[in-house]
Amino acid sequence: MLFNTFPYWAFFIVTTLLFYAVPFRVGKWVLFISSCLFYMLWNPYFILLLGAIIILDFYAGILIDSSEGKKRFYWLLISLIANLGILAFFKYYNFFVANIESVLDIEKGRYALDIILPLGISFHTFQSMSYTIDVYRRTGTATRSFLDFSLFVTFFPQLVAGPIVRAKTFFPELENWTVPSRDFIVKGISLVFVGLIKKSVFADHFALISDAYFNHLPSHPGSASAIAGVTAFAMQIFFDFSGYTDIARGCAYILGWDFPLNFARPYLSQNITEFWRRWHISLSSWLRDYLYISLGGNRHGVVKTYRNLFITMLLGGFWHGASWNFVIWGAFHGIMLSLHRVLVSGLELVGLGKISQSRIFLPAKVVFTFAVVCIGWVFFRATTFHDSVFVISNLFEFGTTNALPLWHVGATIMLLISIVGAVLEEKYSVVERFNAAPTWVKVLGYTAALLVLQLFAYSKKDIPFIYFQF
Amino acid sequence: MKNLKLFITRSQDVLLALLAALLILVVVNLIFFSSSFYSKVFLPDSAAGQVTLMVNAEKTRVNPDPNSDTAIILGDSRLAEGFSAKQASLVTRPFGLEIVNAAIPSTTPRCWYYFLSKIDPKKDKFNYIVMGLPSLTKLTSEDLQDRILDLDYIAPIVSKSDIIDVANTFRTIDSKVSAFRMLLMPGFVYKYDVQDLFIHPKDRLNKIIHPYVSIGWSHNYDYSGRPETLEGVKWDEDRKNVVYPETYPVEKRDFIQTYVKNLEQVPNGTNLDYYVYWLSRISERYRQTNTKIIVFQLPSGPLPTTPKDASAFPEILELKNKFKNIVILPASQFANLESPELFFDYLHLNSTGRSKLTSQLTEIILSEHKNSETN
Repeated sequence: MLFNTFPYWAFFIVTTLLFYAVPFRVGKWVLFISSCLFYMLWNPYFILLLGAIIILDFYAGILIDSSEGKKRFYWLLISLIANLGILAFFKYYNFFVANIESVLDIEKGRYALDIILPLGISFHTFQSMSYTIDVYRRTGTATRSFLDFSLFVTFFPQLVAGPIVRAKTFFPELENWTVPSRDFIVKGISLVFVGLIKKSVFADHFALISDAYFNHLPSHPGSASAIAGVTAFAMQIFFDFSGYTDIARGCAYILGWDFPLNFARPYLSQNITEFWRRWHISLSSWLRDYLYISLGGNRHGVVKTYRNLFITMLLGGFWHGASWNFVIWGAFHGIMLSLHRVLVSGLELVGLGKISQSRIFLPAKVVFTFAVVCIGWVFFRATTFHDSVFVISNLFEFGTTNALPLWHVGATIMLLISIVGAVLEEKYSVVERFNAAPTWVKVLGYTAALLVLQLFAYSKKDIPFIYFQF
Repeated sequence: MKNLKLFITRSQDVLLALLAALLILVVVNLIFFSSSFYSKVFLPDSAAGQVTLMVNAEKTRVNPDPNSDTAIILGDSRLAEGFSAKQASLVTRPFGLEIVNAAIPSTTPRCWYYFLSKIDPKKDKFNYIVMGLPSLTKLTSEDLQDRILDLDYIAPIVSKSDIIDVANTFRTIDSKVSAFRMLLMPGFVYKYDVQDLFIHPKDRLNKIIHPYVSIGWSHNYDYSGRPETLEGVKWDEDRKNVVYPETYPVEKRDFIQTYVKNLEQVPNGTNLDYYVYWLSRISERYRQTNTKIIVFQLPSGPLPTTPKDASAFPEILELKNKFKNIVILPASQFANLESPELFFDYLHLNSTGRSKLTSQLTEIILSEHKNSETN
């Protein structure tokens, strides 16, 4: 059930009405059962796997919480091994086997298994793991309610592709839940509209260009096609993922939950460090809190800081998918983050730190950061390393002609709207102002949004959310 | 219920705003898309544009001899390409019969029914309705009953009172609901037309001014068909595949192979019900009139050809007993035209094939006409 389809909204309206029609303690069951149904509509059997993870981490949490000394660590270790083991088997088994087969020159596919990747496994295992780690670090306490914990893992708005909600955010909200205020509901509805427009109008139309390019690379030589294809993918992945998150957060608001912000106009970042503070915030903060800091963070000198940054981003890349391209994408960002730190320190050292902060350089810095991010996206989107090299070499092959024009006036209009929209939102918080506007303005806004969705949403085929595959 | 009441109280004005927005959306659709306002700027070569052009052409058409009878040809692109109304009328005019080709690419009998309702509301405009079906003996894999694409052709011509009727002709609940929603708010149907208008306003203006240049096929009365042929391309019955001459271009082979691959798909059994249903409805519509319905199988293409002894489905032949106004021609009536040199691709007749089909079909219509005159 995709967020941008009628069945989902029928499901959401029924669930919401049922949830509010009963007392909250029963409402939690309504949400849990609805979440299980939501998951089972994709594949009913994998609910057993999800159930196993829930049981494991629920009891691991209690055991860690109630134990002392080394026992706490062992219980955490069991939980982590189990979670990562499940993730490794379903997501990475065939990848490792293929690489071993290749190294040992064994017949290709001999030990491969026909494994279906459970929906959202990377997200809910990370969410579940953060709970046990928090309990171990004593930054959170273990819940004694199996239903509460089950709901924490399965809550349908964030089950499939995040945002990765932390236990310390979720449980207090659950504990102190009240019927949401009008502001919450208004915010939720606006987020749903914004998310639907981002996904169905922008992401899906940009997807047509990026798919046409990346799925038929030899037909599109030259820099113009490469720039068009890569830019289209950069826009697609942003609108696709942030659109999904907006809808997820919007639904959560309507049900009375405040999910964390996941995207904060990342393409307006002035450098790569800022980009990672604005892009997929729930994952980058997870990686920072549970991996980077665990590795030592920046506490052991410059070299180790760079090493930790690199390892964190490398594993962050690998988290996205079982392919060397994701590893390279992660490594690329690890290197870029380290280089940025070197550059900042260097500029400070030679006394140019203040000048580099001047507003004159702002547009150039934003464009440069976007270009760097786009180069990274090539590894993310291309199927093989060979394809990535083809695209990157073409990006810089100026003056060649193109076999087929990919970019069109519609894409330029969408790009301009995206830039203007992002700048306006950054400077004037347009959506927030709209939420506070009188009702008649809302009627106009909702009508405009519905009309835009009716007339400009792409609907010739369902284009799944990119992050569903992770 | 306490929570629900509180939720509704708190969100009352927002929910009302949402409801108001939905109502405005419906009204905007009714004013803008369901009236003739938007139909004036349809992209002429879009589905809606072609139907609208055809309806307008039929509204303004006057037979050279006002007392002559009229036969209308209905079909998809195979008839649009394969039949010349000009050539046919030259033959039939002396016998007091005018022939109109209203075939529109990608249309199906459901579209034809509502098209006829639009152009012939009193059921007195045509003496013969001649419909070419892709096959009377084989079924395709396409699900015709749930073919949402039909709405692209029906939306511009259907009256509001027929929306539920149209929606009901779809098979699944999903499709029925989609059809109802799309016809009630035709913006859903015309969205790609609107997008094109936004992106290429100048091009659109040109195309509206010169619609027939934009379409470039048989809507043009003087169109004489395409000259290319498939000569040399053969069907290998043993291997169930196509054999090409050595010099045959690769890209054209790919195009044909896609068609051959489609032949292997599992036929959809409900398509027979679909044909029987719509042929019955059209026949029923004209039951009390003097209009004769003539149904035939189109030359189905040379890859492979229709067997000489092919017979139409009994359910279709049965219609002859049920309706006295329907004539069903033998399935292999035009099998003699299923030859590579008469086609420009695997489906469509070229100019020579067009001329031959026109001549043979005209002869049949004329013979029916002469018979009815005698009776």
